[in-house]
Amino acid sequence: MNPQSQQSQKLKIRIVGVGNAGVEMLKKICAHGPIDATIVAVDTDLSALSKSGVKHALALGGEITDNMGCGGDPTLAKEAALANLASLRAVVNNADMIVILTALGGGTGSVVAPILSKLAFEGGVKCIANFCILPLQLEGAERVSLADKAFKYLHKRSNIAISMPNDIIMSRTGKSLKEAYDEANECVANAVLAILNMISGRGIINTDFPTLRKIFAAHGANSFFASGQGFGENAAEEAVEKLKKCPLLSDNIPSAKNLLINIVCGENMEMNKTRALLELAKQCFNANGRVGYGIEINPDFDSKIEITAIGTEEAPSQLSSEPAIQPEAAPVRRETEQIMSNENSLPQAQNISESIPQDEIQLKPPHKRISTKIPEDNPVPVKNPDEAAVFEPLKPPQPAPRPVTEEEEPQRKRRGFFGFGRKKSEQTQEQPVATQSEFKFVEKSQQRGFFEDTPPNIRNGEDLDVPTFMRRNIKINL
Amino acid sequence: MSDSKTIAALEIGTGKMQVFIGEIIDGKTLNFIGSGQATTEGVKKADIIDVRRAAAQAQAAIVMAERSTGASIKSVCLGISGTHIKGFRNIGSASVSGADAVVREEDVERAKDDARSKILTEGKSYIHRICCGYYVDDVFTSSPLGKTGSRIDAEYWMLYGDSDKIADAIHVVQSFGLEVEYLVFSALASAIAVTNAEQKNNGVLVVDIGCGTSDYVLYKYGRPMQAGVIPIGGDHITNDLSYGIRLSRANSERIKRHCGKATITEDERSEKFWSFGDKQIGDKKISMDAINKVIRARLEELFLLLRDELTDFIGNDSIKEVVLTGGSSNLSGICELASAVLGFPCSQGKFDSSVRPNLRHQEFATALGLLEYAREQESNKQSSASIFDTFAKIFKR
Repeated sequence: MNPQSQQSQKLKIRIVGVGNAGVEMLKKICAHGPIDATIVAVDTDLSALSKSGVKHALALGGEITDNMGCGGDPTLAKEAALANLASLRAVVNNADMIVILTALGGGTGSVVAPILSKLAFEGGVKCIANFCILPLQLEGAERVSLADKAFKYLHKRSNIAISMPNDIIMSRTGKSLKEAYDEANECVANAVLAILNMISGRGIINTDFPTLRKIFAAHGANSFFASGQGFGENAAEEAVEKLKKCPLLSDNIPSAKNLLINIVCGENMEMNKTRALLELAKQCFNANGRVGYGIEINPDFDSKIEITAIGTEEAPSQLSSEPAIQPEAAPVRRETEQIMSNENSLPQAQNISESIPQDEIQLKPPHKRISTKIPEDNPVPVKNPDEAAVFEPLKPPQPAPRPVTEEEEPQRKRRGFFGFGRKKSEQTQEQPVATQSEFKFVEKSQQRGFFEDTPPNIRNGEDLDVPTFMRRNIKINL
Repeated sequence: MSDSKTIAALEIGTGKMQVFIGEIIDGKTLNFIGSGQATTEGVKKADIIDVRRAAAQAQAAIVMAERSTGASIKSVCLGISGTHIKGFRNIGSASVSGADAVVREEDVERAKDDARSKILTEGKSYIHRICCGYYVDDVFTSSPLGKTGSRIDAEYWMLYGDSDKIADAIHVVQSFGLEVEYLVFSALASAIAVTNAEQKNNGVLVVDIGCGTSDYVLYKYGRPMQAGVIPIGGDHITNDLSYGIRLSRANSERIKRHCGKATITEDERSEKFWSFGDKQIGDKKISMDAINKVIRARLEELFLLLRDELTDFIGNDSIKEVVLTGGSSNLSGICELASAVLGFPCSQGKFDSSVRPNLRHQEFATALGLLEYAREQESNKQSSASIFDTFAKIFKR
């Protein structure tokens, strides 16, 4: 046994499958043979758990759900999760890395996965990865919106959060329903195994856990995952082509900030080819930050090459589940952000732009577009506050289109849905947005401000570094 | 011949490094001879987060103090605070061994040893083990010798902190070749500076509201009964303000110092003032009410946490008054608020008349107290040493 695999055995990696689909994904992973990780299945449905054959299984709910699942009811699932909070905490405690697999949209998955992520985040787990399958659009707006909210919640609390829209995976196959679902699960399983392989130490060139942590250091960065395979003479080119066209990228090759590439190839792979392949893959994602790569030899591969890329996106863009933003939107936002610095300065800024006719042409139409576009493009009626946080400073400061009064209330309730324990402070996060009138210099996620680089100051379950008036929900009128 | 010793009191505060140099003559007289000050950057919430920077700044303060006096310092009385400091009550017991059931010195020592010998978990070290008093057959007494009973209990307040953090603080001093002679919890030092013997005897709660933390100590019967840290300080108020009124940290700090009030009257509520005052872009009117709400919420929380910590002493007439000290106690209206929340009369610390008027600032309470603490210890040493000397002389003869 080489020292690295010893090290990776010391690494406590836990793969948690949540909900029925999560358990199915675990099964797929188990089917690939033994791995250096503890596999835990969490579900409200006892029968599904017992059928799964997974060694560590945690049944939630008990009497609350009669051990029969929660029937897609998130409220019931939350009740079940809160009743077993200690067990859930035990699942994530003391782990170095935690991988949560789930399909969002249902009851258990949509509720327990965010809760697990939060527990892991609070428990200081070094690397939290979430792989979520999003529901089909035809499953109904309710499920889609629940899935969206759940994903955005756990996205903020994970180092790697990858959503795989079922629509995309399934639209490309003419297979039967069961095969299609299997393929979606397989897809997740492959992604997880690829990451585990990268840090397992079996390859010639290994990326280790610290590299992975460094690349995915930030919580809440948009991450992507893609894989491609190539065969025969032009295997390398083919693999990169497939990588680009990977359904999980939603036809939108992101600019990677940090990138991790893993190559699995046959024994005869030449060095210069490998280099060319890495270069190609790097170029493909336009990677300019940290790039880590691993190469693994699989004797069965012969001329086959499999390439896996996982990384964080350069700029926060819309999540992959949603329609891609039109490319011109980005520079427009930057323009509006400057104007945003002060409400009063808006007319001035426009005056300036009017004096320069060219600017006027560039500035004005996108303004209109943005203000109307966001509600239009988003079929889901309720927007998640998290997303509002990302985009808020980028919007032009027009008071009218910002749906403060009508939508703020329901948002708060929903935000509180996944939260537990520190509900108040979660809710108070909304306040700065609602009363925004000045410089936006604090991110909502960094409410600790000056104390953000110090350890949390927990007393009676509250972080004392977070302003008291926010935790107490005291409204400050300037 | 008089014996004089120069000692430096160093407070590694979140807001500043404060060094006072004092000369202790015969363990009786303390002469203040110089001071030095430096800003702190490597300290947050009273915990040293960057040892190297903290050491450089502490050295700067000490060098400045040395230059101001021309004296060279060998040893330091170091004040320590930080969110890691915690305390618990521990009682040690011993049975009274004498046949006449009279409590003797050795019984008391056994009870004390029993209380003191409690072992902490790994990574924690004691800062002070304070004897709060004794119980002879469950009756409280501060001097058990000569009392009759079958059992004696010694009550201790065990103040401990993270070994690493304590080592960091000591390392800051050692890194420029000085020795830490005394390590003192900063609230104990502050209490020495701002309260008199009578207050300590009647029951006084001293709260040193600093930049990073609020340290407290409760005195009764002239002894410290409980001490600890509430991890809230002036920096928290500033941070809250910067969120509440949406201004930069520097501006929030300025507004806190100039316009911050913990309690306000109805008339003041509608008062407004300009945030920068230059009426340029970005300048805006801020209502007093908004500032007060933010500050009040934070301070109320602080005093409520304090009240929760002192449940043993509240409601049984143990505390007669509350004394606030530390830089943040200069906030207007803070005593009224503390008094309303805690239910005791509250005032700012008052310094002894022997303290120079230019040093009578609440910010200096800890450093002044550290010097006085060092003097007390020197005085104890001297008295024990002088007894020893006498014995030695007798034996020589």
